[in-house]
Amino acid sequence: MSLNDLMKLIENYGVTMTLGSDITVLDEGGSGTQMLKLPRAQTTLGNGLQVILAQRGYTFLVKKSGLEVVQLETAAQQAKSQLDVSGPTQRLKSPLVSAVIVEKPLNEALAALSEDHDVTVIVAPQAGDAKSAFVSARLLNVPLDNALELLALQADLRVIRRGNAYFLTSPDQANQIRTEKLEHLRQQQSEVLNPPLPPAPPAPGEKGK
Amino acid sequence: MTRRFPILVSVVMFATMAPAFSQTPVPAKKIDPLVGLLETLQTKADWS
Repeated sequence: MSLNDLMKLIENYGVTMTLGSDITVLDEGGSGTQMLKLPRAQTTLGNGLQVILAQRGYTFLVKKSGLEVVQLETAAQQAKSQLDVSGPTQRLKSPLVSAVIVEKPLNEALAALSEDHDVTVIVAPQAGDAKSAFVSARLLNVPLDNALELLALQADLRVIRRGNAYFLTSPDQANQIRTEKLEHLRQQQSEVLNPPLPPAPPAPGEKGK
Repeated sequence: MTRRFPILVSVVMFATMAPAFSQTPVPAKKIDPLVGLLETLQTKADWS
């Protein structure tokens, strides 16, 4: 599939897709261009688009009038996010979220976000009733980290990230976890700077005793 | 009779105006175009 074919496919769904100003060469799908691999059959339109565009180092931004295809660097700049270049293909460190949430319980909003973006979100039991607090947000191309934080803050919760998983808990527990982690890091640093001394050799007089 | 006159007038007025009120079109709820777009992005697409 070429980029032109992709744009036609998207138009069939009634969605307008435009190319950003940073994409100068329109892929015509000629013999010299690398064809875009298609996603799995049951993938949603949004996730499939991300998978296809990522093969060219592109992604899309959600605009009121439709979708705009831009380079990943441009998306990172606009969303004040960062690029992850550690893998075989570069991608955004935190995927961009676009959602309209109107007076929805926090746990339902989190479940929808985690399902859409294939991430793990856990709400601690210490969150109490805050997990069902009603939240509202109109998010447009917001990094997932920030989106979760903005929702959590509405319920007076804090977000702790561990790898690609997010943990939402009460401010007290979040502080406790951060303090413990800081202590652990300090301990590790002091062990590196001051390694334990090797055992002292036996004194000459003690030999044979 | 004169006391009942205003009541009679109100009843007649209500009877004549009520159908007109019921036919007044309800303004359509403004649909957020962004919501429509995001819903479309959530649909399962035919990638074959």
